[in-house]
Formats: sequence, structure tokens, C-alpha cells
Amino acid sequence: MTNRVDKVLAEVKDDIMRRREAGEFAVGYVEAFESLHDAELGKLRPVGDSGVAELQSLLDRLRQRIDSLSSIERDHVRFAPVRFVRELAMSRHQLIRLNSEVKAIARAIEDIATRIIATETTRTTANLKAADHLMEVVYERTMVMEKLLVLCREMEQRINSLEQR
Amino acid sequence: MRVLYTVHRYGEEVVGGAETACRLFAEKLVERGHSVDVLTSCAVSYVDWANHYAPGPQVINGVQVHRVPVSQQRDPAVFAKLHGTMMRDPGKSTIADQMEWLDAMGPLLQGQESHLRRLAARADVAVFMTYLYPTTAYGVPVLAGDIPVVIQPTAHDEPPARVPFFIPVMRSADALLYLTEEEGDVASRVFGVSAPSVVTGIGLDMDGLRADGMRFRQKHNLGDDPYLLYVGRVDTFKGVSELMRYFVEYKGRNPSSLRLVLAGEQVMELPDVTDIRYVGFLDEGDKADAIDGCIALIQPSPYESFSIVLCEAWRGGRPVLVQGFSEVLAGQCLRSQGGLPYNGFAEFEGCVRRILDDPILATELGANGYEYVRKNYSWDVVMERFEQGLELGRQHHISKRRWSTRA
Repeated sequence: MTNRVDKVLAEVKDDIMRRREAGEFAVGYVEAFESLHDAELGKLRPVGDSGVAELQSLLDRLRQRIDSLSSIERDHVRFAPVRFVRELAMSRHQLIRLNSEVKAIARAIEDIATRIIATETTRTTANLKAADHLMEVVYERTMVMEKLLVLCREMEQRINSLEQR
Repeated sequence: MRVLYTVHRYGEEVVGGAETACRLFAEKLVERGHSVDVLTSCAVSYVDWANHYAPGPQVINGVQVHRVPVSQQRDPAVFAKLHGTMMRDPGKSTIADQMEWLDAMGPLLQGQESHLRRLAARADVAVFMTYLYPTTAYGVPVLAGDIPVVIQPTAHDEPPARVPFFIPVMRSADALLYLTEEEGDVASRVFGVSAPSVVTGIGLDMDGLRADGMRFRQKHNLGDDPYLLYVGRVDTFKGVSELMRYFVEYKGRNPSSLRLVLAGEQVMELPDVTDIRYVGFLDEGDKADAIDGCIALIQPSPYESFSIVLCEAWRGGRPVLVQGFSEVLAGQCLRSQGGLPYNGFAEFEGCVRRILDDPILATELGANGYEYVRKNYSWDVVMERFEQGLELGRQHHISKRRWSTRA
């Protein structure tokens, strides 16, 4: 039996990443209704390596985007009026491109911020859950100690009564 | 072997995964030459535990059933309030709070202790079904140490499992019978149990019924539209609200003729959405037809200890999409290679797209699932593991007694 399911899931996740980057998921929208149902069902999502890896990958892509921001190049045509007109046209064209690139970066930053908040919330909830578990263990140990104490007292009383006899 | 089963509800009219599994196990034990007594309530509904059946003994398919009236009905409003408070922080509650919560949850059987002692006197082993209810929480301490006690916890990592009262109860068991490997992991983690255990699963008759998807489509006017199928209790806590929301979002982003068909007992309000069809409770024949006609079966519940319907879909050669939050469901999919687990909407959308766009993948997953069920969940295989679990419990009980006698 091949491990087809893992392969398909990896492909689905890659596709999600691509679509997220292309802005197919409005920032915060999906998370809003997901968290509503998570709360309703008492679901606590574990913060695993995949979440951290996803954030890292988003950050890397953001850096690449910032690095690829083009600067306006100088025109070397000698005739000044022509140079002026050409530079003006080029600047306009590059400004339009820059505008869309900045928007994409802003979207990516928003996405990262939303994910950090979601990850931190989950981590806090997981910590609280772990603390609860610890409390249970402590509680249980205390109960056992109490029972032992009662048992010891009873034995002490019995020994006393036997000694008196 | 003479087996005494204790379960909160029992009967052919009773709807519920654990209850159905208990009835099937009891009947299969009888078929294999064991004698089975069942101690249970007179209730059919878990909503209020109202006494429905007549109290007293009754034989159902060879199983001797002893029904005891419920001493107090559940008041859903009172229980909901207590439950909400308790689930906020079960670890910090006092024993009195926990017992008040258990009593309010019910069912409390009239004279449970004396009935248990009377029936246990003629049994070789006592089996308690589900960890959750007072029938087990108050019943196990009555018999533990006297005869071998085996628990089938049907546990999942849900908030009630964190109530400390269950810890000593679970640890008193001589053996544990789990439905999946993941359930065993949860029980070890949450209750800290260390008694011998066996993963039995639940059996399925592989011959099945002659299913016809077209019959189901015609009956419910579904035409040729592809549909995803949910079968189970139509309940928010089974993940149905989440499923509907995901489906509506999916349809908004991926317009098509795809529908979502919901089948089962309805305990929540359903929105009026054109592409979502509720078809009511289905009998076994209709269920097999519905599975036969679907693109994939969806199981959105985050808390499952087995999910029989998953295996039924695989028996019908259909792929499944499951709630990835459930370790049990995700584990079943990965072991069988018969379905895709999704976490969150984006993955739900991605998985549905893959199943719809790639029929070869869908067929392959369905075939893998069929093979998995055939190998692991035929009744003979399951009952051999069950009997092995009972024997482990008996041996553990004997060794414990020897140890305590020496001490």
C-alpha cells in the first residue's frame, strides 16, 4: 500500500500556500469562522512544527518580495527633453508596479500577523490545558496521600488498642 | 465464559455508537457460546433518561437483559448549567462537585450496587461500556477486586475526560478494550492507565447489503448531482454546524452542482440552504444506498472513538473526508489510506477539490479502505481480540489477588 494520503495532503497544503499568497483567502476571514467553530466544539489546535514552518516560509517569501522591489534606473540618453520624457514614463510605469508590490507585501505582513496571533492564542490555550492536567495529577496525588494518612492513623489506633490489651 | 455487561442504554431501538457496539458485542459473544447478562436502564433517550422499557429481565437475541428503572430523570437545563461550570475547569472541582455533575448527567439506576453484586455472583468477568456515565463510574468500584473488571472506555480527548473522578475508576480495571490505537493513547495520557489492553475495533458484516445509489437519488430527488454524505447525529457537537459552514463557503468559492446530504437523528436547527439536504433517519438499506451514491462520506466530528459509519463507507468502496482534529479519525485514514483528514477550511476546500477533480484518486482511496476493513474488522477477527482481552483481564485479576493475599 503506497503512502498516497500523505502525498495528496502535502500537495493540498502546497496549493493552499500558493493561493494564500495570491490573496485568495481574505486575511482573517477564514480564521474568524474557524475559531468560532473551534470554540463551539472545544477544539484546541496543537501548535506543531508545521505551523512554525509555514510562518518561516511566509517570512522568506516576504523577504524575497522586498528584495525584488525595483529601483528607478537612470536614463543615459544625452538629449535632455527626450531623457526627461522617457524617465517620466518609466517612473510612472515603475510606480504602478511598485504600488501593486507594496500592496502584496502589506497583505503578506497582515497574513503573518494574523497567523502569529492565532499561533500564540493556541499556544496559550495549550499551556493552560497542560497546567490543568498538572493540577489533576497533583490533586490525585493529594487524595492518595490523604487516604494513606487516614490509613496510618487507623493503624496507629489499632496498635494502641492492641498494646492496651 | 459468563460475561456481565453494564451499559447505560440497551436495545434495538436505542440509537448511539457505543450502545450499538455493546449490543453487537453481546450478541456475538452469545453466538460464540458465551453466556451474557446485561445490566442496563429502562431508558431509550439520553436527553432525559425517561423510563421507557418495562423493568425486569428480558431476552434479546440470546442476551439476558436486566432492566432497572432510572431513579431520577435528567433535567437538561440543570445539567447544561452544571456541565458548563464543570467543563470550564474540571481539574479544580471538588469530589462533591464531580459527583453532583455525574448525578445530574445520569442515568442513576435504582439499587445499582445490589443488582451488580447479585449478577456478578454468577459471572466470570464484568465488562463496563463507556467511561463516561455513572453506570461505569459508580459501578466499577462495586466490583473491582471481587471479579475481573474490563472497561471499554470509548474515550476521546474531550473535556469530560478531564474530570478527576474517572481516573481511579479507570485505573481499577483489570483490562481495557479499545476501539482504536489512538483511543489507547488518549486513555494512557488522560487517565494514566497501565492495565493490559487490546485494540478490538468493531466488527462489520462484510457481505453487506445490495446497495443501489440510483435508488437513493430517485427517492430523494437528487438527480445526477454529485453529493457529499454525512451520516450520524445531526448535532452541533458532532461538528455538523462547522461542516455546513465550510460547505456553504466552499460553494460560494467553487460554484457547482455539488450538494451536501445529511442523514440521521436531528437534534439541531438546520438552516434553509438549497444545496444542503436533510433526508432524515435512514435504515440500514437506505444508508447503504446513500453511501453507494455519494462522492465521499464526510465525518466532521472532533470526538470519535471509532466511527462505524467510516468503516461502512469503506465497505461500500467510498473514500472519506474526516475531521483531522480527531486523532482517531485521522489515524484510521492514515492506516487504511482510505481517506483524507482536513484541518480547517482551507484544507477542507483543498480535499473536496481533489476528490472531485481526481476520480482515480477517489476510487483508489475507496479500494484501500475496503481492503483495510476486510482485513481488520470482520467479526471473527474482532471477537478473537475481544476474547483475548477478557482472558487478559482474568489473568490480571488472579495475579492481583495473589499479590494482595501475600501482602
